[in-house]
Amino acid sequence: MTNQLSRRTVLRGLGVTMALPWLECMAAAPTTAPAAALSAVGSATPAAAPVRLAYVFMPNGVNYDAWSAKPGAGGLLELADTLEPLAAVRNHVNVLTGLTLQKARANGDGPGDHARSSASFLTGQQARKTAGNDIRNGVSIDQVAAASLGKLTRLPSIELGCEHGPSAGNCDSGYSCAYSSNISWRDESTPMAKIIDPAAAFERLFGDASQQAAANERLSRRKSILDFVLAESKSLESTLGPSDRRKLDQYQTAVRELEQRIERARAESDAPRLPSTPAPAGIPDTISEHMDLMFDMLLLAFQTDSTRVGTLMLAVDGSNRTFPEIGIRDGHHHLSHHQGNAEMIEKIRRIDRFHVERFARFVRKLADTPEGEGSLLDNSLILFGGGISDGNKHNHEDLPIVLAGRGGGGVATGRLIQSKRETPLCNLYLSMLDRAGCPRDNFGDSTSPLAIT
Amino acid sequence: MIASLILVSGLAGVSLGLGSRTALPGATRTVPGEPPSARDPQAEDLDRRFAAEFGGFLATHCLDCHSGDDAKGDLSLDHLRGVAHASEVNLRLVRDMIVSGEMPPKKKPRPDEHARTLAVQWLDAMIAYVPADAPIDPGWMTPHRLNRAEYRLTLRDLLGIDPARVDVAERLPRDDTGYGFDNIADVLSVSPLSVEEYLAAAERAVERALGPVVQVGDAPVSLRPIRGDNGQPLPRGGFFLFSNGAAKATFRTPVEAEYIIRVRAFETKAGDEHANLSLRVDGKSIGEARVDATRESPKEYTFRARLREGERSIAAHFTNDFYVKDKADRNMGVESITVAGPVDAASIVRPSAYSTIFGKATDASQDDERARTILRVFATRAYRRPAEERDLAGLMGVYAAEREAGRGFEEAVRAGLTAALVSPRFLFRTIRHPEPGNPSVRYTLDAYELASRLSYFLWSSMPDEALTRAAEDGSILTDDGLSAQVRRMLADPKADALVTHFAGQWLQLRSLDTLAIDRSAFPEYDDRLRDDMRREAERFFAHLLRGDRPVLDLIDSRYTFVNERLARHYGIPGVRGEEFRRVDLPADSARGGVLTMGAVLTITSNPTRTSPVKRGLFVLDQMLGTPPPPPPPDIPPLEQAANLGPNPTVREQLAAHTMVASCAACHNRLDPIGLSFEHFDAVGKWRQDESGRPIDASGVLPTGEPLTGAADLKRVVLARSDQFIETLTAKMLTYALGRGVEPFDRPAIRRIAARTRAEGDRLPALIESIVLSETFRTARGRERTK
Repeated sequence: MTNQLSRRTVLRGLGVTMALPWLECMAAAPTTAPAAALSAVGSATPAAAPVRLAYVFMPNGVNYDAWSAKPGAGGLLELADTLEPLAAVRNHVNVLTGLTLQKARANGDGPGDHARSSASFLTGQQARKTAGNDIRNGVSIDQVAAASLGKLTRLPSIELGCEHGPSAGNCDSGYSCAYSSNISWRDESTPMAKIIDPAAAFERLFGDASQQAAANERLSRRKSILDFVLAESKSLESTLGPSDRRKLDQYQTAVRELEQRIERARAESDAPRLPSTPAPAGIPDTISEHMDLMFDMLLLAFQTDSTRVGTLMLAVDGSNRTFPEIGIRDGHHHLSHHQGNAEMIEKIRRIDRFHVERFARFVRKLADTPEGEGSLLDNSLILFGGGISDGNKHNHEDLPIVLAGRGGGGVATGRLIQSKRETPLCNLYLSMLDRAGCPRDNFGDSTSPLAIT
Repeated sequence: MIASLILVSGLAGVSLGLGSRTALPGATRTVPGEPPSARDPQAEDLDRRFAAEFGGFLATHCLDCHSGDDAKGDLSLDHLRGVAHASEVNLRLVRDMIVSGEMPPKKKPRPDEHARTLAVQWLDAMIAYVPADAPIDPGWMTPHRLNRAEYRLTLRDLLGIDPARVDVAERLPRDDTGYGFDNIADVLSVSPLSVEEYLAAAERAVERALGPVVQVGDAPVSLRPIRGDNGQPLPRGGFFLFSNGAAKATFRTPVEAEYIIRVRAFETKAGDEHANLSLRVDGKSIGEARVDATRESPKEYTFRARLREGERSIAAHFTNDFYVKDKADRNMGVESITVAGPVDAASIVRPSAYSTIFGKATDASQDDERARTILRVFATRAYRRPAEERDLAGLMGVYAAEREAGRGFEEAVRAGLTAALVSPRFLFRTIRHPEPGNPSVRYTLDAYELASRLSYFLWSSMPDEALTRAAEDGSILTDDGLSAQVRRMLADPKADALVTHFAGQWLQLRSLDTLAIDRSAFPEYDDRLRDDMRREAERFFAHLLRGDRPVLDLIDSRYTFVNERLARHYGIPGVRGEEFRRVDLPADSARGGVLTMGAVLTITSNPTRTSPVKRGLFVLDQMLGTPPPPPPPDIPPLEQAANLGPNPTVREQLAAHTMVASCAACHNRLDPIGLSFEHFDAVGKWRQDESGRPIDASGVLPTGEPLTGAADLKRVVLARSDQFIETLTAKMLTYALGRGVEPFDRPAIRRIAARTRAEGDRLPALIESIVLSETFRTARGRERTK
């Protein structure tokens, strides 16, 4: 710890803007997990940096006619209209077409496409239709990845968002707001709560600086408190019925995870690596600044190897937020049901472009962050998209999906990857898992991995 | 503990089921056993929907094969005309066949997708239908995690942390909502992030409530640096004053208490008196001393002072400079300033929670015993029932681990308190059902469980002392004792929680904050007006609660609550100032009741214009409990269907719905209701015309009832007051139980509503009827769902 702090100080003194990227950390603490872990997850080249996975969600579908990508001259991806902001980084991204989220369809459950699109986006599961009693979805792909990759970092995963779920009223057609407000699910009934405030995200990643002094004493106290809590929870659980035990199971899982993190922190192998960027002050006033900051938090998390798995919800599905920055004063959801109205369709296009601009900025920053021989982006796979294609139709085929990064080198970028219609989105998830070194035979409604290499 | 066990078993004999409860004193207060009225609006609704939404489908796609004696698959559907004979048909099979697409068979004409959806929806509703006179089923009680609001208010009552000053729940993740409320047990899950934040919040709360841990005693801290004016620094720190002036330093006290301040000083003597030292803290004089020590042997001059918490400026002033050129020069030197303390524990000003929790000090040999007592008392309050040996053993384990690690008594106890605040026994409300997995076993909540349930319903917080006493002596288990608590608690200011959390969610007042009204289109709408709107609705609901008013006032009333700004918005003359007050509305006023309040009219609008659809939905869903199904996706462009000109009014756009059959079924219900409010713009302001065209707020309901505006609509709702009160009952029961009401809750809802009607429709009577119901006081086991 002392060692690292002094290194950091030195680096700062030399005017290095960002703190230790992961390789530096390994050098500073040769006994830490990452070195051993790389071989454990079977990365292609043992010396390579770890692969990071992120899933960025946007709600309400898009104006798919303006979602324009085609293979241009010399095989280069040509991006126009809504996707034009990505043109500057087109060599680093793939645009995917033909992907479907079958489980977001009604399949007998009636209306509720918004809730189902977010609920199934990363789970590939049909969410149980309920406004609250007996919530049931499935484990999400990021949590599957976190179960393997998360053992190697301080945080198994991080869940971020730019909009809270509604504080009153109903969400979508008899579905609890838990479905439309979360994309990451720890288990079938436990959504992973997301952080909205960038300051809170920073603190979760890097700790509260004011508390560092008494850190060790605090850790040992926390450990003994959590031991107690675990015992209490088990004893309480034994008095509950089978369906109620889930609640306490969730609680125990969470407590255990925190205990493990404390254990690692106490072993000093795992001290947070503070970036030299200052902690954010809170939620900014404009949506663009807020989104940019949350993207920055994701970047910092990856760059410092605090975690290798992240999700970011740009808004909850069914979001009716307005975009005063770009002169859009109608609600997003309201506009998405444009019923063919040209003016509304145009506004949807501008909102889509706004989202793509934010994402493009993030991709550029990742590409500009050196890591090893290449960039942080080269070692990442960032999925960007949503679970509805056209917000007016509520259809779940031809989803708008972009994949950025080379996933450690194996993924060829700058392409339009056209799949046969009705190809499960989960097929792509399988391929991403594979690139991250934790392959799986199937997930959700997957049929076979999608060729992205 | 033994006492509470006896209470449980003693009770089991008397209140299992309503019948045996007649033996109790006050039994006349229980809900009437008979069905309240022969009419069953839900059955009527199902019959109506059968005719409109399923009958045609059945005739077109099913009856060819499935009728008469030779019906295919031995499934005859020709008796199916609505609720009456529905139980004779295997509806689940019919539904599954339609959903899977097996029926109608491939070679027959395919049903339209929307018609198919409506058919399935009717079948689902019919399958879920429970007759209003079925026996009461109280349902289950899921372990209920405190939500953010409950956590905040519980820590207010447990530790005295004022939520207006410190939000201990700030970092807790937002709770997801279900059924329109954020206190639904099944939805309140726990993620790793929440546990982390609970732990951090508990640590902060204990520190906040008790103040910092301070060492009492006389260990001096030397203040550095010492700066001064009119002099020069001394070689080893300190300051030498040539003429009147001060040597100053700062000190940060951990708490307000008495401290000892020592100034080591000397003089250079001249004239006929010694140097005078005046000690000042933050400029205020504490005392004076005559400095008679020489530079060779300085002396310590001691002061005792009460110092407030925080950074203090401590200054030793030299006040009697004496100088005669070349003859005499009196000076003063300050070598050091030290502060020690707090000098004794008694002088420390502590937050009130400190003495509540720590009580009186004893000698150190009794530490462990004292810790045990402190933790027992605290756990009993925090866990909302007498702490048991097992609870205590765990907490003492945390305490002991801290002591072994060398921490002091107080720190170790604080660790125990923190642990209690992260214990699932604090964070969750549970019941001790003997067979929690068995739905056929009914359990009567014990006195403490009932007290908690009541307290979180009315106060969103833990029971207070009086309620805890009523649990201890068992009086809460009688109807009279329980009613008395309800009345007492509703009169308490803590019942404001019911206004902000129940009314705030039912009427969706909370959404006002995140609503993005286009302020360029509605310049009069600003944050202050928005807050006034919310306050009006809250004041109104609170008035029904405290003024014992009928709930029908929610639909229409001849009074409301406004301040000057809101009155101007409404066009009510003669109201001055920020203060809210009750005003009587003239007989012809368009206002009265919640539906024409600014808050509700604004919430049910789009950012740039009114939304009659949202307004219609609000009435049907929140007031009448019969929301239409959501619209199908891929709605055809309505303008084309209706051949609309440019810039159509909202009414013209909506009229297009009637051209499309799949829209008409629901919009015939929604649109006339919503349009009756068209005289109110998107921020609830009265208007005669919209962009130059006069407003037309008229319409006809599917029942044939004509409407000319909002006043007619209110009359229509009041004519369905049974239905409104049952709807409100269902909403409030959802909130009270923390679970969605299920079809099996219908009989209970009907009885609660009927009792409320018998008590003059008063809001407190509704609340009391819920609390006295079997559904609130008992629970059955819950089957494991697939």
